[in-house]
Amino acid sequence: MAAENGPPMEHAPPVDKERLRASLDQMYEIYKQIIKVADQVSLSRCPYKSRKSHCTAQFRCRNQRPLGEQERSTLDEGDSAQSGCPNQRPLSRAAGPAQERQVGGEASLCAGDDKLNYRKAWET
Amino acid sequence: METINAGLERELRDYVARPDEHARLRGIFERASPLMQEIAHHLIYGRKAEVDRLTRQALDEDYSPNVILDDGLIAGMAVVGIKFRDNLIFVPEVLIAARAMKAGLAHVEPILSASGIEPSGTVIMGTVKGDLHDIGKNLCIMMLRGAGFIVHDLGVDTKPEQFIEAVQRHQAPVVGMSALLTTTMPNMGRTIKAFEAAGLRSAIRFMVGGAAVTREFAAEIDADGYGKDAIACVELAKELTARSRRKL
Repeated sequence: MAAENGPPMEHAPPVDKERLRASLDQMYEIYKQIIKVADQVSLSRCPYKSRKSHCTAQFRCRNQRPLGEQERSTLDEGDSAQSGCPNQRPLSRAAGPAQERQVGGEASLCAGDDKLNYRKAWET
Repeated sequence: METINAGLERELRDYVARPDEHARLRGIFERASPLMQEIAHHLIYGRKAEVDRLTRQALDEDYSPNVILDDGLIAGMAVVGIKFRDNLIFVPEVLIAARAMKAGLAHVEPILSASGIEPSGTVIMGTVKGDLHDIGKNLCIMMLRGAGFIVHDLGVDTKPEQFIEAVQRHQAPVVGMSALLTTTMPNMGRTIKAFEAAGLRSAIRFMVGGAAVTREFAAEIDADGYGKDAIACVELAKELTARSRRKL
């Protein structure tokens, strides 16, 4: 288990090590299944495309189109994970080449139909 | 405790269809405290700040790390896995949930370390210069963290000097480089050359991957290993970490 948060604690709460190992194995198993599904799903659906078809890529793609007003409002829905996508950057922070590669430097929708090989669209 | 919060109840009702999975998760959530349920629910929706705050709160309230992991973080991630498998959510949502998981784990990890459970190793990960494709790298990072590695993510468009600086700062013996485009793949080799020029090559193990990368290409640029996917990446990281320890 990775410890990134400073030095070890002096008075740590008790941990059941065997149970912990079982938990970590279980977590790894969940991730492994996720990877297997991701490999399958990515054959037909662009992995950068969110549940609501928002594009989360930092690069330009022919399938990107700017969000409409109504679509933009769905980005702010509190119940949706996509509003905090790791690939999304505030417009002011999307500096340099990455900004130029996005559609107007703004969040976009994916217009891909999931039928064609989407990878070719990335090569623009 | 036999009451499940409304959010989790909705998750179970609407998204966990298989009877065995439904019964197992219902059992976990029914025995979980309201705080653990809240952590699980926020994790499902990738709400990093809430998972971060509530995990801290749970530790302050003397919850055992075992309980936080089992009833909060892992239970939530199990629902994420099911929703992903059933095409209810997709890779971006999974990665957001993984990020929330990391925020929660960050509070638990020092306790695990203090209990003698050491990290599997430290890895620097980045997509090479000129390349902005990061899904593969992010999935690898998720897997590596799940396997107990400390991972420092340099993001996309990573210059050789940024890799070098990160290796020195974090004392990491393993570097993972990703590239999707044939046009940016050569930057993997240039990065390794930069380590050579800095006199650091012999201390570092390089693993490479990405859609167009092959085992042959990895050998050609003098990388120490090639991973075809995120699962292979973990095995490779373990092997390279062991090799670097033997060298020490």
